[in-house]
Amino acid sequence: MLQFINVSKRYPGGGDALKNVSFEIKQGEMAFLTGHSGAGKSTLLKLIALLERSTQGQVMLDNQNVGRLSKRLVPYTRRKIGMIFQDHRLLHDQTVFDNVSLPLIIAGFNRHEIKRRVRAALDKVGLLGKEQRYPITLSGGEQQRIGIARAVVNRPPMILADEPTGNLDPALSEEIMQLFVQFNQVGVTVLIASHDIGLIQQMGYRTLQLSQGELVQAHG
Amino acid sequence: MASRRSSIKKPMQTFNLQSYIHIHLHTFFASLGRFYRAPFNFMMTVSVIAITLSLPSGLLVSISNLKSLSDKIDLTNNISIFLQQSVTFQQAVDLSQLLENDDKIAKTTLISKQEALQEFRQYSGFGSAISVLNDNPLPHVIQITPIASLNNPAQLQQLVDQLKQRPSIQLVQMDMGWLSRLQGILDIAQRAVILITVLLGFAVLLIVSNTIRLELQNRRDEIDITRLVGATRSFIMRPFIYSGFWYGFLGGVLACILVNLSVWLLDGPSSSLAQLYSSSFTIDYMTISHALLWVLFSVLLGIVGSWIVVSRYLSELER
Repeated sequence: MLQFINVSKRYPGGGDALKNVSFEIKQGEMAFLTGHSGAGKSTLLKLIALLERSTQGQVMLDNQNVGRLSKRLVPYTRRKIGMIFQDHRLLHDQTVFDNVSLPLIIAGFNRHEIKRRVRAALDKVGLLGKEQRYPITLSGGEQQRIGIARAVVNRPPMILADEPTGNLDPALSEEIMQLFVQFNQVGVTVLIASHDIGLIQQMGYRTLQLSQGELVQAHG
Repeated sequence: MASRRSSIKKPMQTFNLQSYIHIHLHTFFASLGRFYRAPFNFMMTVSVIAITLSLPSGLLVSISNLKSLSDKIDLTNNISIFLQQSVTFQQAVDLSQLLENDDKIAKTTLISKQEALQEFRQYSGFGSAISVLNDNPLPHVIQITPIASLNNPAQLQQLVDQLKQRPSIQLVQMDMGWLSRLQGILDIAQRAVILITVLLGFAVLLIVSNTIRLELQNRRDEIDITRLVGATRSFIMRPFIYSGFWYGFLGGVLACILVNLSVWLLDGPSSSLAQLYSSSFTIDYMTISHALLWVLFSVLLGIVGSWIVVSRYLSELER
């Protein structure tokens, strides 16, 4: 599903964000990405989502070298990945429904299908009945769930999450992690960047550890 | 490699005309909805565009009115001959007859000094001053209309020179002189308006670009998020292009309204002025086809202006 082959990323004027990183995540697998701030977790996720391009090496998604993808095809690749962020990245002037339906509108689904899928996604994250609320009127945990619903509404084969529990208390964090486990159980490949070592160890999935841009440990 | 590439493609099978139209209608009205939420800013931009465009379009309407006015004045190529004071009425009649027999002249009209005085008294407003005079200071005048085929300036000048030879004639004046000068000036003015239109059209382009640039900055997060969830370039550009369309369209319509409102305000005074000259002249409004052209021009500027800014902005994001 996802394969990094000797990937390096150097920012102009800065140091190496990633150095010679290689790993593979199989279809239907769930894995964690850990490391201190600045270890390169976000950079790694950005390379997958094509927000950045690697300076060296290959990032393969579905046996496709995404680094070689033409700009025109980038949006279609992004639709295969559900992205979740620590700061939720919601549109605050739009309702929960509008936020979650955005990927479906972009993909050109018809109105009936959009309604059906949005309700299904909101049901899965436990926000059914709050479609017409604005994100700002909901709690931090609920806002994160909106972000998750938006990431899965398009039924992407892969979910990437960047510190999804960063701002949440332990109980809420575990609920959110359980959601990811549920998605993984229905076959979605999941990669979660997090520094919540305690929670990760407790869950017992494979963990990739980054330190100063290098993959130091891959266990589990 | 080719077979691998094929795994990521524009998913044509999901393309569906109904949802395509739906997306368009959605963004079309969503862009109007944004204006509804910030009506003041929106109307300010529309007004600036309208005022900018009303200048060249108003000038064009003025020029076409002056042109139609000068066309309506049927003095084309008329020549007035002022006779010497010593010439008697009978001599003037004879001369008039003689000139009418000339094959270069189609028609002559004799205005006797009494008639001229009468007319002058009636229209000049110096009526009481004139009655103080003992003598009539005005000469007899013969107005000549040359034959239609005699229409170039050189030929007319030749006729004028020929008439000047006669001792009884004091002054020969070609009435069309000022008219052709006026028409010459109007031709220059029309060309100047084209230049002004180009310049102000450019100004409208910049106004729209700048407004859209501000809108882009305000909606930076929204653009980032839509890009993240897989929006294509055209999906992101669409609402801004529609904004540009609305600015151009409403600015153009408002410009036409402003010009016609000005014409309406000038209509009353100008028709009473025309009456003073016993002319049937009425001021013309902007024609529908011209109005449509101006709106089309404005819409084009709006769309191009926003397109330039948004595509530049997105290219910078994509690097």
